[in-house]
Amino acid sequence: MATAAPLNRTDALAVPWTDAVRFIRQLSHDLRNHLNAIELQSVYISEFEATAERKAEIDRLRKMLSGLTSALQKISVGLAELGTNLIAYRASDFVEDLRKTIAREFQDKSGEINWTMDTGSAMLQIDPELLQQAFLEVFSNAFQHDRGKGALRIACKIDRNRLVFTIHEPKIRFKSSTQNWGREPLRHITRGHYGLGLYRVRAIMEAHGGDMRAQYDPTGSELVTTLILPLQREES
Amino acid sequence: MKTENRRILIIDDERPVIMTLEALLKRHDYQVDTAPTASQGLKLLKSKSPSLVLLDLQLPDADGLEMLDRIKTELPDMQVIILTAHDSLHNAIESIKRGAYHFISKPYAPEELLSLVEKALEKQSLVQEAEELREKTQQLEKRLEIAETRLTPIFKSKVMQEIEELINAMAPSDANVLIVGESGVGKEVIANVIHARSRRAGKAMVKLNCAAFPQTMIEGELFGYVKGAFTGAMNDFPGMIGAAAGGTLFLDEISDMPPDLQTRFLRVLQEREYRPLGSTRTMKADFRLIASTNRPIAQALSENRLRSDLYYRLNTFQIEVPPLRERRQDIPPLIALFLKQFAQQLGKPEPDIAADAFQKLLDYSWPGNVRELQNAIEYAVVLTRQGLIGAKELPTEVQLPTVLQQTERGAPPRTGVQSLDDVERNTILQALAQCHGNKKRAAELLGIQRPTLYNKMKRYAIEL
Repeated sequence: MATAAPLNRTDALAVPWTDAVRFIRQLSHDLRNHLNAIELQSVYISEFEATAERKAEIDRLRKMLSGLTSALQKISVGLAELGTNLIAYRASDFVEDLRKTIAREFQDKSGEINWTMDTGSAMLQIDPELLQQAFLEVFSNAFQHDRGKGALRIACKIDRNRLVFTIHEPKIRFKSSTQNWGREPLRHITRGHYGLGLYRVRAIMEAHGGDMRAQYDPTGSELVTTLILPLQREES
Repeated sequence: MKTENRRILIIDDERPVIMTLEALLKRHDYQVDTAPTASQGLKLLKSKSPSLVLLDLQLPDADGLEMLDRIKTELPDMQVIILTAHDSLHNAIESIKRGAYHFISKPYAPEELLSLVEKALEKQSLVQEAEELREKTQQLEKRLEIAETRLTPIFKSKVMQEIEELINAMAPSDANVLIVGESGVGKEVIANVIHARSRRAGKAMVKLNCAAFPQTMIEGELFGYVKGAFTGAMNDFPGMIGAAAGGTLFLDEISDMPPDLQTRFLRVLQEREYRPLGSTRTMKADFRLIASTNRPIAQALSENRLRSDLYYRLNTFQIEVPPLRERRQDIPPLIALFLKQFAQQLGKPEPDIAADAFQKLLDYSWPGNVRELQNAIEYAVVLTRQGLIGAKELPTEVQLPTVLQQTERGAPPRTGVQSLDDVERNTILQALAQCHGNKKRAAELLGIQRPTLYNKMKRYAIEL
């Protein structure tokens, strides 16, 4: 009869990544529910309150709660299971939609992008909403981390039945390795940053049969990120 | 539960969102319409009648919450799910307050959205079902109310109490009943009561007014016919006898039934069988017969309007409903009943009746009987403005002094030679009636001075 292995308290937390993800998803979901309930309660209290000053304080409290909920939402989205809903979509439409969204989401920075587009009438087979989230994450990173002087340069072209979307980002400095770009979740964790963004971008690209590559060019001090998507196969 | 109407309208200006949602929903067998602007959304809302709207809060031509208000104003029962990129409960709370079904933050999980959509459609389906049931209930309540009103004759006077006793005694039997009485006394109401208190109350009561159909049609109406029995018989028709199977057949104004048809109908009563026109099949007749006539029976028999053999067959029980003028005790409760009925129908509070108006209603001779009283009360309830019916709100003939009422309606011409005094008295009465009791105008009409009219009125004991 086999005897039970002695419990190693250090190893007890060495759970598989998939279990950890499930745990965080559930925790995030539960916490968001609680926060939503608290925020609703604060609205309820605010309805009773006649004093403008107290109403303003309750409103401040609500905004704090809302910020917390947003952070959890970000984690939930970052760890959400990927379900693609693929449809035929013109590449030029996808890029045009992306430009519009960037103009809306990054109003003060969207002017700092130079676009070079040559997609012709190529068609993609994509989940446009999901894919746009991935591209927006890359742009968000470009605007946030160690941004160097000069505009972002975007080149988008069709190359051997693929859409090749390249982002040239001027950087002040760049110390990371790009070898496992988007393959190492939680590697860089800082305040308000959980190291999940690029991991999800890669997952979305791969779910579309695409790829993501990045390379730092020290001479030009720019990071070149390339997002590649296969074109829709022509019906034979 | 899969809902039947699966048409969904997406109002969102983001092409990727619209197209992804459209593809996702179509893949799950929903019919989808899309609109990139609020104005286009409103047009599609009217033309496509979706069951659910997925509404983005940021639209190029309108604020999403205002758009929600417009949708809920125009279609209060429409289910709306709000789509927004704003991850804050602020908009959620606001949109729910304004009547949205639910709220979902972008990026949404497809399963979450699909589950929400199905729940919203289920709710929409339940709302529609509830609305249909509410309408049906209201219709039924109205019908019940009308039926109850019909089924509530007033048995206040002694003679009506005796009639009620007779009804209670004979209603449970299958005996034939003949109801006689002037037009408007409530013969049909009495027939309704007999049916309601009979063992056949659970089955239909079928009514046929023999005076309302041309003689050529009444046979087909009564016995029914098969397709092709005569020109225009495009389909089989079961007829009133067939429709009354297990229930009661009420033949109103039976003395207006053609004599040869009376003979045929008599055989149905005797043999309890009949044959629809053009049919070779003999059918069983299972009905209780109630007939009515407004003609005096003796007159109807002597004029051969009613066959005597049919009369004796009908006359197992005879109920003679007296005219309203002979049972004035029934007038106040009838007034109360009709006031309530018409106030409800017109959506007005139940008005009171001023003492003088009430007295006029009591004094009037009601030649049209209960039906005339009913019409008079409807007239008054329509006209009343202050919740009080005065004499002015009553029909003109009711307002006239009693002495002029018969004149106004046109007194039956007397046979033989009248005395000059009678002729003069009647002429004065007619003039006064025509001028609604206005003596000055009546005098002008008669071509005499007013004092002369006064003298003559005194002489002929005409008091207004």
